[in-house]
Amino acid sequence: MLALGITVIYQASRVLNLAHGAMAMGAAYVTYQFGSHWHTPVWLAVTVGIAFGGLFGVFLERVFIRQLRSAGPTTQTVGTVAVLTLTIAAAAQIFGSLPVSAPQVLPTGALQLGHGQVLWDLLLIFPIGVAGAIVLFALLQFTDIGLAMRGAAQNRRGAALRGIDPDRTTMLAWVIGGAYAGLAGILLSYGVALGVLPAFVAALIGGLDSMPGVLLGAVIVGLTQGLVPAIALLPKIGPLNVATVAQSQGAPQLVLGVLALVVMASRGSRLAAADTRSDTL
Amino acid sequence: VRDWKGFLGALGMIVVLVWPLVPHVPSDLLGTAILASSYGIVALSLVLLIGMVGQISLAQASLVGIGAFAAALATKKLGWGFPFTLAVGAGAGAGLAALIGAVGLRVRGLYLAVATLIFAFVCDQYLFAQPWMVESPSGTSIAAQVIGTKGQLPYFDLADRHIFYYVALAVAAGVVYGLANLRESRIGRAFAAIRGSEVAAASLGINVVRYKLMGFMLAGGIAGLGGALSLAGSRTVAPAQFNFQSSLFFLSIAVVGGLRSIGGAVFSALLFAVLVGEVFFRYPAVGKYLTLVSGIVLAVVLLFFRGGLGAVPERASLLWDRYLADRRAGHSDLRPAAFWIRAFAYLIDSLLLGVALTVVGFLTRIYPAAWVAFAAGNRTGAMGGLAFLYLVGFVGAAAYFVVLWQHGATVGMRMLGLRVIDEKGGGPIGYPRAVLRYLGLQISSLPLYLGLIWAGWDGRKQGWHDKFARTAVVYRHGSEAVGERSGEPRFGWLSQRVEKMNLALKGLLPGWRVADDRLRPLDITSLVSRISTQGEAQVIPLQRVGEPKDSVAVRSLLRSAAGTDSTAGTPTSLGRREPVYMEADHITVRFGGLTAVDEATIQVGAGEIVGLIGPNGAGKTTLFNSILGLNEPTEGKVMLFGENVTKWPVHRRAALGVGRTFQFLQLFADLTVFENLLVATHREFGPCCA
Repeated sequence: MLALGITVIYQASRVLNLAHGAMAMGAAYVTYQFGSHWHTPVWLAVTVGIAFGGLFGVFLERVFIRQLRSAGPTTQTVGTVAVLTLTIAAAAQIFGSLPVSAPQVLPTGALQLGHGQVLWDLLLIFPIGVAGAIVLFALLQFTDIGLAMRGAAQNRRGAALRGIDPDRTTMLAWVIGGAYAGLAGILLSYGVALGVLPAFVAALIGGLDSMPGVLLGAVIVGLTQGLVPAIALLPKIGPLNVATVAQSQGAPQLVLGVLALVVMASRGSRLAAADTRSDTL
Repeated sequence: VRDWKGFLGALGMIVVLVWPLVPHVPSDLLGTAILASSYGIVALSLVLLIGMVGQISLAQASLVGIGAFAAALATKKLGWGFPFTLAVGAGAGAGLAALIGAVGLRVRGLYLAVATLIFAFVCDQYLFAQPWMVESPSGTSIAAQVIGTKGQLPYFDLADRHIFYYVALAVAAGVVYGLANLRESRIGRAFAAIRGSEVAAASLGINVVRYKLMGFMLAGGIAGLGGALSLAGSRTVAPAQFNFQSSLFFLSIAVVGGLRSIGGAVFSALLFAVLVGEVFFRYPAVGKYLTLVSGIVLAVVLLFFRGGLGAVPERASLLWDRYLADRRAGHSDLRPAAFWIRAFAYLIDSLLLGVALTVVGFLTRIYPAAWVAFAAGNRTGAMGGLAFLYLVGFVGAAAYFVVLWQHGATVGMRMLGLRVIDEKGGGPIGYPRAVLRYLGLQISSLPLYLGLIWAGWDGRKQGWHDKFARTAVVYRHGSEAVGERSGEPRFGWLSQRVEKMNLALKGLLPGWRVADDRLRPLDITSLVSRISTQGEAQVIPLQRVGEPKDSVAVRSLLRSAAGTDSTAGTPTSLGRREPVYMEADHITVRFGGLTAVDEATIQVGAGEIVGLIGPNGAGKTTLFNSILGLNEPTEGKVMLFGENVTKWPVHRRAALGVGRTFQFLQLFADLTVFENLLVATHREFGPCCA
């Protein structure tokens, strides 16, 4: 889910949103405030939380991204860093640094499956994520707005000449990205903003441009995180003791990181191809 | 002016060297200074990587960490002493950075940012969690280090902060010196060219791959050096110091400093070190605001002061010039300023005053003392100091507004392009009426700022206090208009560039110079690009020296210049001449199903000028790109001076003398005019890469 939001924003504004986790966290906290403190119904709290994510996206786009557009994508990315720092600090001021327990959004309990049992909420998160991805994919790929977004990202001036308001499409992308971040944050009840790192890996493995790719990336990341420690249970294979490596702390992250770096190294080219094209020789 | 600057620099250096010797200097102040040195070193590594090479890194703290841990390992396992651990740290940082660089060669921009992010992630989660790397989750410690024996020279006790201050200072100064020189060197220009455009850099003969890798390794080495230094200073390093958030913190330091500026990075490091060491560390009550404050600082710098601290001198001189020009220009077409912008200006001023007052409160220790008194229940004891501070604030604010109004504008007004003028004459308002206006403002702000809100009703959009003091707040006439009115060179830096331009022109067109009052920076840069890429000159105002009034537009600068020293014979025929220097042999380029160039053959002989014409889409550019190496032909081969270069990278071909111009100028915008010219000479002076 998180990876999807990152991709939407990147596709429409070519900005890597490092504050994505902050968006998710903010939305989760708002939901918590409404649901657990003010005892509003859960559906209302969730709606408000998602809306907050979207609004946060608008705020970010208005205050930072638009102002910094002339300074290039790197500066814009640094701008999101500023937002990230600010949000984490502000949240720590308002809600304290201790983890809080979010309201139960999804039904609790477990589903009996033969021998084992699967928790209901874990079971539900996956289809919700897939559904979200499909909706988003359809929006970007098959609607006028999606086309406008993709066009405006690649060539703002060109898009403007065709009657598309690039500012508006960018903002819309940030709204959607923010809402998705909010939904993900609520579902997973992220207390820690840096929990989004795997999401970045997922977005990257899938390629920041492709929606199905990102979903695939997310699945790979999820599986790796789950499976690598499991390898430790396998018997020793030859002289190389896989188990010890796999058992050591942070091994899944190592595997993921190496995976992502290899993917990137094999995708890129030596001299930027995009660079050459933009020269319009 | 230059002497004055040098004097100030020398004075600063003496102060920096001598102040620790003052008796009773608190040792934690030295600790802060040491902290500033290590922040500075890391910030400088980012200046090198982002500001000079143009590659982003979000993993800088990991590089610092690897430097620190490698140095710790060298101390514990190998028993190496202090100065050598620095080398170990730098080496480790450079090695790890080479890994990032290897990825950085493949990806760029935001993908690179993500790559470094993942790298930081792996370091944090895996590398710094391994028992062979780090002793325990709480970090690695080393024993106190002493060089030499006590009572004999040389003797350095690194645990003594007085000693270590100088060590840290020396290392930081070394990095500053090295970077400053690097930037002016051939390597530094190659970096800047790569940052501007990799393709253009390669066309000028710069080995992009090598220089990028070099940039990554240098930056990594500097970061690792910073890590090893901080290990030597604190004797304990913990993984938590080098997580992703630290990377963001270091990035904030560099951004606040201005990324392009070495001096800015130094001052920014000092600022953050004072914040961390003097304020947040000393008063734990405010310690939790550290991230909040650094976030705010970063946001403010990004939004309102993009250039960072490094741009302060330039901005200040620009504002000053503008101010002078303003005073010279008349006071016509004044536009009154309305409520919101004035309220915002007032807000900025209040913020400035508030920050200043807070700083004063901390420096005089009144705030902390008042807290302590409050905590102890001693209310009256606390109130005395606070009342004094309030008085200082009141008087200070009054003085600030009165003096600056009298001058024309407060800082907030200046930022928003406003100024205060006399209602009738339009001139400065003078002290008496500035005082009057301040009193009026006090009165008008008592009833909920009604006096300011008045500006919403008033026909001329002026507040009540303006009526009271017969003043008006207006927009200074648009900043662009300012320069056009005065006939003098507008900005100091511009005239410097013009000087360098003229230096470059001297060889080409003796007796001509650039008419600096008619010139915009854009003209200069475009002229230089034409010179360096040997096309036609831009229409730019040139003056014959000695006839300042008669400015002429010269159309083909280089045509005339080339006419004088052209040793090659005139091209009489387009037929083949011996020997053949360049040959494109049956080049075919296909993009998917489209054949852009079909079996094109072209030969260029000695002293020959060959033109290639064709309609749009004929494949001219594609053919040129194949010759230059920007795309690989599907079939055919390219020969240069008898060598088959079809598989050669761009920069090696450029080194043989193949150059190109670009339809859209590929100028290195961050380099000065003169340096742009120098980049073009890259291949001539460098060790040849063939």
